[in-house]
Amino acid sequence: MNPTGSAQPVRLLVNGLHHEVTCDAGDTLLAVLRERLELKGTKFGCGIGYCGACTVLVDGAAAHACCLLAATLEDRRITTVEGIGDGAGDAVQEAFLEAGAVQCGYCTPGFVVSVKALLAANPAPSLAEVHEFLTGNICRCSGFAAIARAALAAGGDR
Amino acid sequence: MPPPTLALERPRTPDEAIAVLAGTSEARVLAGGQSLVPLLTLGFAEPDVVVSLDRCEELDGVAVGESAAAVGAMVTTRHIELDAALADRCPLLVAAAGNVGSPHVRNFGTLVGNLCHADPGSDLIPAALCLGVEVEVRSSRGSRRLSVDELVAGPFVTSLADDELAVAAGVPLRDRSWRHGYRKLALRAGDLAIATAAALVRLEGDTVAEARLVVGGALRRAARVDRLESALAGVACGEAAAVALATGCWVDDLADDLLPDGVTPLEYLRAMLPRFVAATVGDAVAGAA
Repeated sequence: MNPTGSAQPVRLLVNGLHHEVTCDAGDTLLAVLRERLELKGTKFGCGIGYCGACTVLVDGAAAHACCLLAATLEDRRITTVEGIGDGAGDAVQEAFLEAGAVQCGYCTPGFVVSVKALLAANPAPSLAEVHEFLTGNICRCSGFAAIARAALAAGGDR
Repeated sequence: MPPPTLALERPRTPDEAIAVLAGTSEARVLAGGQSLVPLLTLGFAEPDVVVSLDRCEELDGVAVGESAAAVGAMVTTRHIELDAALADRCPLLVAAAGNVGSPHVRNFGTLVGNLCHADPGSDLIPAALCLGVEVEVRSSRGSRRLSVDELVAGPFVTSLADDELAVAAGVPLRDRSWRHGYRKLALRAGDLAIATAAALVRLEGDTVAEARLVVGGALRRAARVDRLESALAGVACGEAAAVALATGCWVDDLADDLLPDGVTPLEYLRAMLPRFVAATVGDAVAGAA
């Protein structure tokens, strides 16, 4: 145990790759992803766990990266939007494009990651289940309806 | 933002955590982080040391006994929400858990952490008070059990000493003669509550034999509604909601404890709370066990 408070090396597993980063105890996962690992896909929206723009997966479970301290996540499997689809296309990403579910795009990475988590647990959700699961994601541009259509289309409602 | 000098301890056992807490008065305990990390980000909490329980595996279990379930300090709200045994024996806790924040928040936030954060807008505090939950607290000086009423002193204030660690919540389990109701008023899904009502009623045939009612939200702290509990004893199920509404003067007993949030008018709260609680009573008598 190190009580000195100085920056410490932390080993993080992000999108399948191990990274050794130096971070302070109080650094959130969001800050480390963006500023240490240069993974800018995960966005800073509210910074306090309401808007979901910073949604990542931790061991497959959706989480607000702004509400996690990076130094407590050494043994966890972290997935960001950059780790969705491996650049070769992904059903959720394509469904968002087809449904016109992207306006400014700022909330989109968070929503895509959340929908991936939803569909992994519930492959054919109802509209009510989509709404309930996406409680943690806010979109200020759209009326949200296109996002819900995208989620249903990417799921079993084709 | 927290200063670079903030230290992080990651003890592997509750005893190690307690040893750290005994050595400083400027520590905060980190369970799921869904309340504490935003406080650190906003500068509303400025500890010298954060004691993270993420390595304390023995705090991550639910043990369901005959009359009570022991829920460890690191058990997430999501775990509670999806636990079939808890749904069977303390469905009120499961109902309240499903209202906490979002799945994202519930994947990390914990029941014990929620109780110790003492947010008036909590869902789990009124449910826990209604259920008669007791929190096991340990320090280098020994251990004690606190009721929710003893634990929560006011908005964001508990009776825990700086060196104390809450390690588990003991949840009383009831049989199917008890029915539950839970309502939450919030402007948006996922918000903390403007008002909460938790009800447990024990039925004997078609009559309410016993009621435990809690109101929370726009109050300094969640409270039992004694006047209403007494009024409902012996009332026929079909009359319970009406009797609850007719006994709405209970809100006057709590006048000094109402805590307007700066958005919701006091007159609105005083008018809606009796209807809100009466509707929750109605949900309980009408619902499944």
